[in-house]
Amino acid sequence: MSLTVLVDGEPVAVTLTRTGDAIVARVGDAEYRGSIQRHGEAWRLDLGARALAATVVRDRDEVWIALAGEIYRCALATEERGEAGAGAVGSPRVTAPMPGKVLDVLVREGQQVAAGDALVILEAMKMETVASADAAGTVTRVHVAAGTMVEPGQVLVELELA
Amino acid sequence: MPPVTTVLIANRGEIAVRIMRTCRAMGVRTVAVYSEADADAPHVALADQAIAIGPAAARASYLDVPALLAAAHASGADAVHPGYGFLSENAAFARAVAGAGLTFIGPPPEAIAAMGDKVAARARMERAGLPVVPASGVLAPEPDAFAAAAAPIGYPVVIKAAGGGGGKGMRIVRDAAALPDAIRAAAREATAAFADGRIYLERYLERPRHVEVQVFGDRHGRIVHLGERECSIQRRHQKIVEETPSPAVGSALRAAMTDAAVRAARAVDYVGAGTVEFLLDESGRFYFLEMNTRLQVEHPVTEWTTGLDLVREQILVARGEPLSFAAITPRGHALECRLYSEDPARQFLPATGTVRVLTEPAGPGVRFDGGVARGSVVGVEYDPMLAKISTWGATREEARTRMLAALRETVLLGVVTNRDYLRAVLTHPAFVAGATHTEFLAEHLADWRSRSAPERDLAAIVAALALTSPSGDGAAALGAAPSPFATLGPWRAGSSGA
Repeated sequence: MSLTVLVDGEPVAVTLTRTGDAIVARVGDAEYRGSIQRHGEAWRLDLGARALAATVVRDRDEVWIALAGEIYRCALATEERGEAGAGAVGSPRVTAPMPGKVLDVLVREGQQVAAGDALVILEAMKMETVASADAAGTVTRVHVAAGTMVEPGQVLVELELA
Repeated sequence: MPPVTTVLIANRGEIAVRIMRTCRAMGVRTVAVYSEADADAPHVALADQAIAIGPAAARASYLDVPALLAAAHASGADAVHPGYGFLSENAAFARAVAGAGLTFIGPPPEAIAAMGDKVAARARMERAGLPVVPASGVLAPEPDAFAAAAAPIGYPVVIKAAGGGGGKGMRIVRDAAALPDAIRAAAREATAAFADGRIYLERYLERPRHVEVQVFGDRHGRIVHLGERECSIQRRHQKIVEETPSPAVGSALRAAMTDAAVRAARAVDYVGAGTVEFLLDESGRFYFLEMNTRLQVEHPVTEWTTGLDLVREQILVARGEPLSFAAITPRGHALECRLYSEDPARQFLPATGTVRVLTEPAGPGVRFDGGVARGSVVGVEYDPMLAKISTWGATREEARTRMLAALRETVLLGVVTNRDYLRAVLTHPAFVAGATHTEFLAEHLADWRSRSAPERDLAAIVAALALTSPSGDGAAALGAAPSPFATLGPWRAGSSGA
């Protein structure tokens, strides 16, 4: 089995093979041999110089891992997940940077905007944040109104770039 | 004397839990209130009685005064503790509580009102002989008015809410061109946080330390201080790391600052727990900033070094009893870190989710004040602070290394937190040296990203297994038959030894 895992957003290629109880894993140039025991959330990894305990929980399409004092948030890499509009320069779709409520929409469809112009004001946990245009253009669609609850990554405004 | 035998805690999260612990230790009954979003929250589980007061939105629940008073009456409470935030610094609420025949565990409404109006409080403190930073009065929210007021004061300036503190509605402005946006945002945030959109402007001190003094008054005319706390490590003008004593405060400065704080409290006939906040500049001059007329988030560090329980003292004072202690002799050093559901690598944007795993730190000199538990849903309605970790040591270094160990031990899975960012703060050489100021994070950790992960490869292997396994914990949690194959998935255990 070969797949790409996003570990805290960084893609890592993993190849796994199993023979009986033994696991052989390749991660980049490194090879790990040994075994993994699972008891619910408590995993025991015996794959190298030292055996390590890990706490592992699934949360929908993500898995959270506490291992050797560090916390890792992982997901499988898919084309869809590949950096979904997270602030790519010149993106025609302006997305919500955080979950929250739309306080105000500062633009109308058809309006010209410059790079950096504030488009939508969001609030979560009593904190305001502004979603701005990262390139100049014309507003073609406004998807939200004051009071709309949004999820991170949700499209707020679409632009036609100048 | 008011009895205070049943306390309604008009709050949620860690502070509600923390107040209930002291109540229980004193044999006082506790009543929790909760919104629809908090039915399964730890503060509800811990209380002797819990009363639903409304929907998730704070305005319709934790800020709904009639609903809170109705809950107090229904439960037979004879006192109300407001915690911090929400209605804790609302003089009208304190009056409403008293008007309903209940004891408000906090200062008199007059003191809350006097300090709550930040502009009036400044003027009053100036008359009481405290040093203040140059500022305007309340201004019309228009760029021209602010530009005119800023000219004699000099840039940079900071726009602040007249109706409340805590960093809400604050905007630093470095030139007149930035005024329109800052005024609009500050007024809007001030309205949302305090239902009071009035704003004003004051000189912004560069790289000051935030040093505050804990004061306490009783109803017998005694007003004392319990030493200072330094809270310079702030993001978005909100504290994330606090400590006592301040590395910058020697005994002469301490005497001057604590004396000023007691004078401030005396000027408003203060009763109960309060905090007088100062800015301390690089030359050692200090300026009155504001007074918080409530229990402070970071009060545990003072409890560590004084050995006192500040909530217990609050209840004693509310009952009309004198403070329980004579002189205090602070001992050692204490630190506090605030665990927030936010992503420090993305401008500290709030993060939401469900707490899937929570392991609390423990051990000598370690305290954990938590407001969430496994299964808690962290939504967008409330403050993103999930818990506080505080540590004590004979020296600052001992407290610091204990904190690092405690943070490592704190495992919260399911919601992004600032845990590793806090570790980066605590290990930064400037923090180790005690060279802290309010621009510390911007100066030293602006480009912080999640650390280079030493066991990243193993994490990737585990993730690959967990994410491709036919038995995600979803299936197990749904109560499928506990077959060993369902729990172990395709990877059989070699042995089940511990």
